[in-house]
Amino acid sequence: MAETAMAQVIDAIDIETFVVCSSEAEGKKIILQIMQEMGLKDTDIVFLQYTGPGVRVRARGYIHRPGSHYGWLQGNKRVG
Amino acid sequence: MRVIGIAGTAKNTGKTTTTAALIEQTGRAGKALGLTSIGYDGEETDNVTGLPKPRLLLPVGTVVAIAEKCLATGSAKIQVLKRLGISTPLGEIIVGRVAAEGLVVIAGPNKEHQLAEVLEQLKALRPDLILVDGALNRLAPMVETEGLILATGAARTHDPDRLFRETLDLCEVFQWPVLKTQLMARLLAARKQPDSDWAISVLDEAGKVQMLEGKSLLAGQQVESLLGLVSPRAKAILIPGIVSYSCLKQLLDGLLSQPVRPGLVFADPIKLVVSQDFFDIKIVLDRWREEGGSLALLNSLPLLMVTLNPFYPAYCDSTRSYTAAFIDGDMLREKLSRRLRVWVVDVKKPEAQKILQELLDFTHPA
Amino acid sequence: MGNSAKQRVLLAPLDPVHDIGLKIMKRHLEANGHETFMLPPDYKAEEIIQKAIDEKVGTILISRTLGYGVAELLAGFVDLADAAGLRKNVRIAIGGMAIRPELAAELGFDAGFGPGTNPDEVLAFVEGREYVPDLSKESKQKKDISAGYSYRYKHERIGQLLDKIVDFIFDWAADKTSPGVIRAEIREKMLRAEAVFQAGKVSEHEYKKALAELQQAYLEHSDETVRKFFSEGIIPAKTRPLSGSELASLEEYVRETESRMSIKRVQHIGENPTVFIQYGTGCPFMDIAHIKMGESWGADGVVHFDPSWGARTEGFLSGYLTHEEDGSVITPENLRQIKDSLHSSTLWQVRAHRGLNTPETVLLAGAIGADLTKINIAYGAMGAGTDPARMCIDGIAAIKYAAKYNLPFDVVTNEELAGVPAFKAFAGMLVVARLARRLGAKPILQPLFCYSPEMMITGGMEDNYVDFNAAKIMALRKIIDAPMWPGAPIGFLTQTEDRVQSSMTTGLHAALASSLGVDAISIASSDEAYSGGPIVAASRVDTLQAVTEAFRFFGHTKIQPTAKAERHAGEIIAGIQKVLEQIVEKGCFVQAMYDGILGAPEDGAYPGRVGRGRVITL
Repeated sequence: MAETAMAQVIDAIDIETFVVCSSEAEGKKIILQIMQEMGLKDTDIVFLQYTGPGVRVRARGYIHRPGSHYGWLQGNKRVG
Repeated sequence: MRVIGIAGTAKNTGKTTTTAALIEQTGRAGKALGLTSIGYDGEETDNVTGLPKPRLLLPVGTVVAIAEKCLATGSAKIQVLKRLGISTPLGEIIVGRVAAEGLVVIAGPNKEHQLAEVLEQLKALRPDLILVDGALNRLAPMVETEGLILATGAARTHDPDRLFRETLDLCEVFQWPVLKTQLMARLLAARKQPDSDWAISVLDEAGKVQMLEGKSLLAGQQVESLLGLVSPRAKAILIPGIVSYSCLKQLLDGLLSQPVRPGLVFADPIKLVVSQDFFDIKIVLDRWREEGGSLALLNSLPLLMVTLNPFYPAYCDSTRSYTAAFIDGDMLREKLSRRLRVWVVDVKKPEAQKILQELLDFTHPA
Repeated sequence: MGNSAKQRVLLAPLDPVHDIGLKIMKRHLEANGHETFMLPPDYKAEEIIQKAIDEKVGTILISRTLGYGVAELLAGFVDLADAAGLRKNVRIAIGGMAIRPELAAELGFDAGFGPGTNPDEVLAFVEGREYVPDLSKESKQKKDISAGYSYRYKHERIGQLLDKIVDFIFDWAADKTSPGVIRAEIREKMLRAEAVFQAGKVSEHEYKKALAELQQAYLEHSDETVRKFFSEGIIPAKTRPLSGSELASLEEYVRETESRMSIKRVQHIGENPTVFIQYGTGCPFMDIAHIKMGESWGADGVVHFDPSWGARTEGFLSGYLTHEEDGSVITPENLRQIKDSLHSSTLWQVRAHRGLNTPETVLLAGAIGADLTKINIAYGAMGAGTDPARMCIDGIAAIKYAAKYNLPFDVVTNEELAGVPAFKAFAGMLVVARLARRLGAKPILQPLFCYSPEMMITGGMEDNYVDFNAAKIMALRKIIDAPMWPGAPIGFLTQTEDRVQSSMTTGLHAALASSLGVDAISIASSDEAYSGGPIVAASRVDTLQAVTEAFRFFGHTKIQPTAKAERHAGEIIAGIQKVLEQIVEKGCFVQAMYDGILGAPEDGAYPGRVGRGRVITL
């Protein structure tokens, strides 16, 4: 069922959060790991800013890139 | 003791795999190893493609010259022996000895003159072999080594014919003759001070040397001035720095319009192969030779081996990510072996071990 | 030591277009006395190297956006420069999107500068010295937002009415006290006993004995919940004590965070107001984490937000307590922990405006080192559910403590949210402000910047959100010369649960506040309208970003309200005067509250019942 639900995402899932860490690099590493743990594979960091307490970050997991097979066009049968 | 550089023609051509194989071979022979790098390599994931890369496992006793920040990153325990006061974007270069085996990230000095200094420091610790790991397609600092292994492969271009031609072109330059001692002596004598840099020079049959300002040939006016110095008695032209394609073409067109065919002398093969237009440069140089000109080097840099990696990261447009892909490496390796005077190896193949053993040949030190 | 001698720098964009970063650097380097040579975009590597040789530069700054194959191109450039013998005397750096120091090292550069680089970092590189961030530029000073005001009444009639009303209040309160006032007096004695003990003037035994006696007296004036907590150790529901190891790790967290923290600024120009955020997640630890984050993203001040049950319970608990719901429990220990975690430049407001512990809250806030508090008798009674008589007695005591500890306080008017018209809320606010001045305190007026329920009904804000909010400030300015701190938070009832919408409306209200020249604002997080759970850190960053951007966008530009604003302002002033005259006619401020003069049931306001009948007549 999860697959069909994911297929309905028009293009991507953004994760907006604040991660406690001691450097920008650490923040990047952590958020990418989070995305992986969430099962998002085609990921990118859209925005990340470190000021000391941690990073304010928007990470993105693409479900459908433009040009791929869109799950939401295919009667929920498979994810593109 | 030998100093061997491992240079790649692009990212992902297998430098690190080659370096790792050499480290293993050295360990198998029970010999002491020294290691540095001209950049940053061996990290977990590739900085550009995001693909995992092999990391270097160093045995106890290996001496390394690496940037300070590398100490915290790997799993090996490294005892710091000396700080060299050479700064890099990853901190000061230190010389250390591996106290407990582990994985190491190697980032070293990234400039030619810094590598020279670092190698002196490593040599003082008397390892049996020093390896200089490359970075990306960088080659320039490798002139400080005593022999070069060229790592190339499908990551440079996955068109096998183009890869074949490019590899031949690259390797050919390393096989040029070294300038005759007698001519070298004349050029040496013409230098203002023994330790001053070489300058663009024209040597004539009488042994007279005329010099231009500078060592690299990059501006059209310089070529005009240089052509002005070339008399019908010109014997050799020395370009000790780098040369741009357009200047070289202008120079050779100028020379070919006259009956004179002086020898063209370059400092070392690296000065040519670093050019982004190297393959175009090679075409005009080949033509120069066909027209009766000759080519020589001030210093040779022996090419010891070519490693050929059939892997390349294929970029997928729809997912905007990289996946692993391969070309037919065996066929290309055979084709190259027939044309080159050095070993052409896929270090991941079982037969590679024997070749590496022979290459390093610790029983007959160089 | 760095080489601050004049340097020659070659700037070369390798991209097909000019990089703005290089242009900024060109200006910055020239401003610092260096000579620069900017190449057109897209030069060949050889041409750049030739130029570097010709101009005898000491530094080359390359800019290039990273992409596929670009790494090799950049490494090739470095290689060529090395082969040309340039790198003995010339240092080469790369700047651009996605550039990191590790990548610069891999490519063979001497340095790499990514997005967000401070131009001073590059300057330091060019001058061959280590980059030390200039912290003085980022260091902030606490600002006294009540400073510079005379509190003079420009509207004479209103000034006279207010004085009369305050006289009534003093007369009425002269012979009264309350359990809240008595507990505050006991707490004062406890604090004094503690100070005497710490000064080594009494033995521990004597101190503990005195404290036990005071504690006993305190509990006599407290509710069952508080008595059971102290006598039987029963902790109220959804509350738990924090362990020693939790406290130790918190202190370490704060220390480490402070050591690596940089502090942004929300303000773009000097005239932009001081910006406060509220905290009150329930847990002092989470509060502290939110405070640190807020500080680093530019919040100038933080407001302690306590749970509503705390305001309905006679007496405080003690110890380090965490609470699962909205609002953080006030105990001396919790307040001290938070105080110790604040950055030295952060203004700290502990709100006390309502409820049964108002005087003691102000006392603790003052004793523990808060900078500001929040008190309003009228709002506490008409909007926050406390009995008007009780609120009046406790409010007077609270204001006296505010004066004693020099805590300026805002006089909040959130009863407007219940539907009370602004002029009625303002009348109450002005009475409390006058009372405060007579007691030697420093009140700060806090009109609400919101989509006023009053206007929702009358349609007065159908065209825009500007006029009525502007009218409030214009009206108050015509009455009195006093500091103003719209809140709380600005944009109330305009926010939805969407983070972009919510941040946007907060930013716009902040811009309006700044345009009107107010002294401070309190802002919400982008979770303001979400009521399903606690506010999250990322949502606090959202609105700080939005306000920063709003200030940047408008600078000194003013927002021009329509002619309706003047009309609204006139109506508000007339309304205030009418309310004050009604109170004077009534002859008693407290009775006026019971009788709906400051907000009637038809407005949505009811006199509060909490603490009713607990005013003690001496």
